[in-house]
Amino acid sequence: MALHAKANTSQGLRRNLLRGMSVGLCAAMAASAGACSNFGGSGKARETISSDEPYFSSKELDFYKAGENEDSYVMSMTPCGDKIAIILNVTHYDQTILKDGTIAAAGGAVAETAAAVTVAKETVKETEATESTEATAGDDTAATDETETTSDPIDTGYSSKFLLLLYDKDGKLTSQNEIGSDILGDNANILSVNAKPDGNLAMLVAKYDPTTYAQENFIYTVDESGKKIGDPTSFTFEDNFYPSSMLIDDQGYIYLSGYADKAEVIVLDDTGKTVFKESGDSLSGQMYRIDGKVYVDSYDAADNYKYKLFEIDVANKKLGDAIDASSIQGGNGGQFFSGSDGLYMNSSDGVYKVDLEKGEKSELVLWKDCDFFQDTSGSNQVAVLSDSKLIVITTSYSMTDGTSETKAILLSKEDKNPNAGKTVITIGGISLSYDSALQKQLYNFNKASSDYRIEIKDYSAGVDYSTATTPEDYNKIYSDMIKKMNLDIVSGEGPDILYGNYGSYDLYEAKGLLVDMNDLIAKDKDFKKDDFLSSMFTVCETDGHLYKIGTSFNITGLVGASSIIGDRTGWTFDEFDQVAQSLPTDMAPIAQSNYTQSNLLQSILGTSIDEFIDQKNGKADFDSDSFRKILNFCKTYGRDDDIADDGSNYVDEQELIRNKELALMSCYISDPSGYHQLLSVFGEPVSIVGYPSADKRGPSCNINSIFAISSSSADVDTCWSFIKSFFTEEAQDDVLNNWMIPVRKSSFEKQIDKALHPDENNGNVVYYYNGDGTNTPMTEEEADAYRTLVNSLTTMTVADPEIQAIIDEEVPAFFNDQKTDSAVSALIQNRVETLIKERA
Amino acid sequence: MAEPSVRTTTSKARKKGARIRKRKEWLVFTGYLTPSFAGVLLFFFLPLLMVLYSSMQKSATNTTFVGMENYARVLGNKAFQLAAQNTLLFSAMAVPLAVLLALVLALILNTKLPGRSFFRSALLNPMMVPVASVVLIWQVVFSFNGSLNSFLGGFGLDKIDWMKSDWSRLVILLLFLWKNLGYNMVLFLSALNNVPAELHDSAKMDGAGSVRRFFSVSLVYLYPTIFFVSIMSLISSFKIFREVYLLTGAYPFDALYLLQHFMNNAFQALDYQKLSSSAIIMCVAMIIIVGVMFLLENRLGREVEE
Repeated sequence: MALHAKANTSQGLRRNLLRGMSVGLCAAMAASAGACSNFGGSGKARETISSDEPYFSSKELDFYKAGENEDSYVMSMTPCGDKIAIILNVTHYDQTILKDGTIAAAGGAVAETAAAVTVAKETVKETEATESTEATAGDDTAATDETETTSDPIDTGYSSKFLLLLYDKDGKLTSQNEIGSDILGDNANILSVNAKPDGNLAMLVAKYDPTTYAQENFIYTVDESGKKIGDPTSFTFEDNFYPSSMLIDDQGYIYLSGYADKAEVIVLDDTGKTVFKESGDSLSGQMYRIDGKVYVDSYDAADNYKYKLFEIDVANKKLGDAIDASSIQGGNGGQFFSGSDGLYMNSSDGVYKVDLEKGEKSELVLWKDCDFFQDTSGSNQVAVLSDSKLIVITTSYSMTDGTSETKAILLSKEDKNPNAGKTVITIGGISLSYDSALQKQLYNFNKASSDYRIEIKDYSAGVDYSTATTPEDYNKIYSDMIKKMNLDIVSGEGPDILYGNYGSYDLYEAKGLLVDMNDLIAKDKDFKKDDFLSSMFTVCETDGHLYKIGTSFNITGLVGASSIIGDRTGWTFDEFDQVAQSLPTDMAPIAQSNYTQSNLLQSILGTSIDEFIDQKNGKADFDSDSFRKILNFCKTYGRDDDIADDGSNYVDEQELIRNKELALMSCYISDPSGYHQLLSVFGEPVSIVGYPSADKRGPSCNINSIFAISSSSADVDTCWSFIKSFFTEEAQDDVLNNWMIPVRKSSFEKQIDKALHPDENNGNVVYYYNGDGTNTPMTEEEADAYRTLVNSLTTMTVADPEIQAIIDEEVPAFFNDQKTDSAVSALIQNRVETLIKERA
Repeated sequence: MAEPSVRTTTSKARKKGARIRKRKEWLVFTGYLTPSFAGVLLFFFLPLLMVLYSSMQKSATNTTFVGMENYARVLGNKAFQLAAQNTLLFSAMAVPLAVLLALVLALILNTKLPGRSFFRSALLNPMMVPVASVVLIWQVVFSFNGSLNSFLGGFGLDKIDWMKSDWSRLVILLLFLWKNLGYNMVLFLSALNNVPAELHDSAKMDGAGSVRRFFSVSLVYLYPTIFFVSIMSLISSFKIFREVYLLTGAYPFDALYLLQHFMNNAFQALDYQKLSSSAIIMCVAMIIIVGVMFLLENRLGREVEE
């Protein structure tokens, strides 16, 4: 009985155990199923802003307003006691009148070489008419390139002055005083400004002898009102040392950085006597004061140009050990600057406090948490007043009229985010923080919308480039960014709006990840397709669906005189060969030394790769005569890939065209003036053609500013209303700033009008010179030809990186005569067909 | 009269004690089992179910249930068919060779061959070489401008594109055997040492020759090892993708395009539905193959016991 009972107990235990395991497994499976239901949800959840999220309000501060023909440039922003001192260099340009009576705009000249005196009506020897005209575009080097002189004078007068502005801790402008020639004397230029321990300002000033250009350096001291205190201290250096930056520590030591034979740092005591100096090729000369110590920075050439800081150790008269700050800086150009309480970094996404000892940085402010327009084509300088207050000096430049505008903005951290409750929409891409047009529309949208706030999701933010040493490393970093973006998008966690051209749109389209914007346009009464160039829709649409849309574009192809290459828009390889063979013996068809065989192949396939791929049926056609013709064309007309590309191979195609030594040159047309200039090079009717292809394709259209909407977005209509803002007349008129062709017909016509009537539309922008040195506006015939060219575009330059990678791997064997074209094309066919089958 | 009562009490106490002991044992058993059980659930069942679920979704962002649609799409995909064919062909060539050659080597090195310790070590060496180094060596030897073609060129022979022609299968087979023979051989050597010497002695006394003794005595005892080595070789043959991928990239010459290429590329292309369904198909195929091998092993094992 006992044994039986024992057996029963044992069986019961086993049964219970098995039941328990079964229940556990079921529970786990149920949990798994539950987890699965959340995996890749059908839509992206809306995210709203909470009131405790950081926000910095913006207030424009009083600042010097540059007048007509004036440029202002912030020389220095320096903590000075409990204030921030700003030295502003203001340059006033007299209008430059050329001998033919045209007025040259004054923008774009570099002000930092200007002296604090008027260099009025200086007579400069005039170069050839062509070069003097170039100078009107703001190129201050053109006049030095003289080959022939005439006696006609050109007036190039300008005057320059320095202003000292002081802001208190609340951002209030407490004083603005001019530091003129009465203080500095003639021919003086302020190089650097720094606060002295006593609260006054020390200015490093260089004075030039206008005849010998010899430089003498001084340190002037001024008080807050700009009044000179004492006599300036003069410095001369034995080894032609040219200081550019100065810093003074609490003990009164003066640190100068600059350049002699190589970068140099010199430390002087308060009497001006040299304490010690240190030089090094890698020193870059910026100095920072951190906790009473002074550091100098460098990009270490021996260590992959890593950004490093060295303490300037005055006591031991040497530089301290290198402090690697490359990971803090991220290798993408964050600018360090000293604040009153340590080191800070101004980067593309915000301002950070830097802790050198820990090798860390912490956010002080992110630009996405502010509402002010930063023109990323200009410059931004930052001064930190406290953890919750900053001054940003932002300068924006206009490419259309060459003017600049500088503003001072006070950013103040708010206790509660005023955007609380707004829905967040994200716009994603790579290096979006640098896109001025995007920043402007974001600023406008966020200011106007009471329900939504659009934020940038920049996949390049925080990426550390400092570890990259080879082009492959950079490619890997870039492809990792793309991969991260792709994974976000496919998991439904990606941005609502995609912006940029990353070659992934076909993939997104195939996966159904994008919204067909034709549907949105159809129900949008404000957006009429007829207002836009039809060619933009032609190149962006896929099987009638508009998954992506471009705001601007440019055109690439080849251009040649119609009398030589015939009146055509495209040609086959045989036709190209016929033309090439018919050329005079001293005329080359294309400038071979400018294109490697592989580059040429990539250019051709960029516009015609679809000819060899049948995606629907999973077939490739690379093992064909048509592809072998491309291979042979590239081998014949391209430069050997193995020849090092150090720039010495480059030839001036325009020069060769003018000399009748070249029939075709590559063209890159980004505005009607560029088109007009292109025609001017030839001086006769031209044909703009695509690269040879079996079906005679025309020139191709490049679009970088591509928008798309994620199908997982919960706010598709809002996304569209934001994208639409890039197509307004105002936004499209601004496209010229980026040297692109707008897609709105009215803006497109405005560009043409400028080229037709340059005198009425600021000659600086649309004036180009002909090969014979004459200036001519675009003619109506040229304008019509330009319209025809743009409207006839049907091909968009596309890249298929996977197929291109296979081709790039195989073709060198043919170019190097190791394999035949048949063997290489068969191999490419073999490998690409697998890829195509996979995609089918 | 008091005696039965005492006995009953003692019996109850004993039963209670047994229950407590069993409960304790159960708790200990459960306590030990729970971590690994949880691990299996978390890292095996959950991912497996997620993969299964994903394989029946329309897309990653559209979770509509589509049943077997993705499986049909994958099975009908010509690249998948090519990959499956190549993978099966490679395994069918590699596994028997890896078993047979390793067994032959083990038999040779199980004799009193001079320097056999050195040979054993030498054959195990490839296992210790990192994959990156193996790939580098193979590239140096078998690339179009590699040392083998230079050597053949010395005899006036044309260059062969070893990795991008039908020869590529042979090259990869060689790589697989080079890397795996040593491990298999050690397993066989171990098994050979476990064959009772007295059986060999008695067979010898009965007049059996060495060949007869191998087939009638040694091989019988080697069946479990052969089965194990076959399973391990099969798994290794599927893992050859690592070397092939490093040697030839994501899209190799079609003869080298394996199932893992298909899956890896599906992952890169963000097609998780294709990836999931092909993984499930491959898993089912593996279960069937291994199941058949288990059945064979059971049948052979029973014959051995009889």
